[in-house]
Amino acid sequence: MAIGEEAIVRSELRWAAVSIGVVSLIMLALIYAGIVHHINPPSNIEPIDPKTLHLSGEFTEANLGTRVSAEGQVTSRIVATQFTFQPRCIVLPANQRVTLRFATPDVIHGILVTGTNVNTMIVPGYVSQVHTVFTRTGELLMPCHEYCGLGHSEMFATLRVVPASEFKPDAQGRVSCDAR
Amino acid sequence: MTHARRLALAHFWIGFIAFAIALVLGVWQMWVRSPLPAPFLTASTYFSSVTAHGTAMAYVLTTFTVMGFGYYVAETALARALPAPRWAWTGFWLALAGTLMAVVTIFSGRAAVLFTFYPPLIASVFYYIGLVLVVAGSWIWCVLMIVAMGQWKGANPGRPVPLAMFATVANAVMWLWTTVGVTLELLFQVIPAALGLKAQIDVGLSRTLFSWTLHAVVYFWLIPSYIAFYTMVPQAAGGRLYSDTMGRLTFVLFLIYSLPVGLHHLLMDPHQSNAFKFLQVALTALVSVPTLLTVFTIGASLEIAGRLRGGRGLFGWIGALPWERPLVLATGLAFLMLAFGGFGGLVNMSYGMNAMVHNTSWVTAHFHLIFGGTVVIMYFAIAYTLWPSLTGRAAPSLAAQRLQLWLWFIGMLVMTLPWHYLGLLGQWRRVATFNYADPIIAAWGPWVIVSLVGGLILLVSGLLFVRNLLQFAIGRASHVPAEVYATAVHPPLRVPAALNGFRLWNVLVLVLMLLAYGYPLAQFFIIDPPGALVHRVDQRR
Amino acid sequence: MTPEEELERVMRDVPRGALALAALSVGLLLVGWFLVYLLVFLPRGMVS
Repeated sequence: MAIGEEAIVRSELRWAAVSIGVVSLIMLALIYAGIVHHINPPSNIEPIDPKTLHLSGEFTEANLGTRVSAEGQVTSRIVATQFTFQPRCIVLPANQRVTLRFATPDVIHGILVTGTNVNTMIVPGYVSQVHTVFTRTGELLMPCHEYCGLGHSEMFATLRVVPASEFKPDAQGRVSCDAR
Repeated sequence: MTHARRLALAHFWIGFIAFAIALVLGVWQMWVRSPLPAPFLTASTYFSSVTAHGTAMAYVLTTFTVMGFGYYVAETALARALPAPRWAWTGFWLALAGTLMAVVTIFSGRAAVLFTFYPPLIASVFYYIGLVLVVAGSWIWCVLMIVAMGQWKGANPGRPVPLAMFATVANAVMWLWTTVGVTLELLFQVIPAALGLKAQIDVGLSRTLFSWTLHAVVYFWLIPSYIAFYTMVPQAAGGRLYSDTMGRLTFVLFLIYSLPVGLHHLLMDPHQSNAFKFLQVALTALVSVPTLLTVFTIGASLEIAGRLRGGRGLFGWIGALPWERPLVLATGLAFLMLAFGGFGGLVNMSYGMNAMVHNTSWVTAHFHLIFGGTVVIMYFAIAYTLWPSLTGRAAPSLAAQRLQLWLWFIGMLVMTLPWHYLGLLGQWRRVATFNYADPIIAAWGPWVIVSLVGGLILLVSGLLFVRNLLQFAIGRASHVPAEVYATAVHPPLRVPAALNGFRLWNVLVLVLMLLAYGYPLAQFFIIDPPGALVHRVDQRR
Repeated sequence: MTPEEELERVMRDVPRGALALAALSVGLLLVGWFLVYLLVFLPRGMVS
């Protein structure tokens, strides 16, 4: 045979190099998105006891929902539980950095917000945290996207993104859907 | 009939019966999720159905097909009798008993935890024990494959193991590694909880252990398809395998890179750090290399066939291929669906970009394309190729086989293209019903109905597949089965020891697994996070 | 021609076609990925 085995293997290895080049381009684009646009996975190794989180600390009922701190930081605390969110409606300002913090007292849940990159699992034992900036105003859906039991299909919340002018915290820094 | 052939037929039929039942359930689930009113709907029936669909497709169809195909390859590629057929039958009955135990538990409504478990949700212990028995049966198969290759090497010192068997043993070795994660999760966490011995579960640990299994399991399903690509398709097309050496290297790469990558299933989980997520994403990117090598090698093998048949020019050889042969047609369609599925997968594994699609219909579309489009369509083609030799009869109609394959391809695209689109819009996974009164969700309705039509086409195709196999009973007797294995352009006379066994590669897998999973698993014992209370789903209120 | 001579003849062209086909598919894949990256992913904004 005129075409030797070495020539064949060479052609294969050249193609493998092209393949590695292609996936390297993708990896570079991901590093760019991570560093320049701050788009990274919502990793947050912050343990919390699911059995007691409702009794004391930041996830007690009085602390849930959106709060603006004295420094102006906007944080929303949400409990995901079989088969609802507390609260079921959350108000957040547009074009401003906000932090969403989730915890669950029971089983695995997860959320996404339609039309955005907001997405995290909510795993019992950990606080899940997502920082983001919402650029469009309006009502967005925030469903539970992970199977959590027979009532999973009915588990969703509404996220109301309002212009900064309509985002008015009360004296304690609280903003809720009922207040409007 | 030899033992191996009887074994192959028995395994294939169990797998295909499970497949047909799962197909009906899948279509019903899509109907329920659509805006059209569907019968039999309760939360319990829906999620039991999803559990049965996933279990039957992912654990039963695949495991039995892989085992049956392995027995066939061990006997025909090595040209010697299967070692210890009694053990092979033990594995078969073990796996069948486990399947029945799991299925009865699911249909009694006591295992609505889906096939990926989700502890601290806990089902009846019989569901998990059933699955452990299926895995135990497959372990017997793994050992038999390794022994068969070892005996052949003993009798043929210095000769290269035939590629089909080398790849089968690569899969067996990989499967032993793969099942360690899920086995640890079941034996130390889930089953003790199901027995009432444990009240709490470390969920981060269980998710990380399951992720160990979750990617490599897909390659376990996929490798029979790749064995067909490398060792049967060039022959069916009338050509030669372009490179036997690269075939071996590809299967070795699958063994190495399918394992230390499972964290890409946990990109949105809080309990793993971005450093290890990024490391495993980088390793995931390298998994594309053996896949792209296969595209090239099989492309070149088909090019040889096309040019031998008179095809000319840069692309003229494609039209000259014998597309009327079902195995060749299935390969073409499988590569097209692999391209779509691979595209979706590239987006999924893309680190921060995973946030855009995680747990949306995009992911469902991706794995249905890979599973249905590359794995299962090749299972069809493998069955069509082996059936004449297994039954001693010729196929009564190749046209019916081609029709079935085309319907599968069309149905798969009609079903999954809308799912990709809906996933980008944010349609989330694993729900029985959507509130179509909501204006955002109402706009999804028409596309959900289109995907249901795709599901119906798939159902027709699946049932036609079973009919086509049954039709062999009326085919004319044919006692000279055609040669199924391809010859390489340069048939290997001698190969390096590294490409004739797995000792070296097992060491490498161990090193990579320690690197990729060592700390991500050890951290749970260091930070000792609080446990979650067990939530049973098998007790009626 | 004998089968071996036939094979010899076609091996003068192989794998040009396969390379072109594989490069075309991977090129399309890459373009598709970057379209999603630039048109959907980046505009949806920062999360971390």
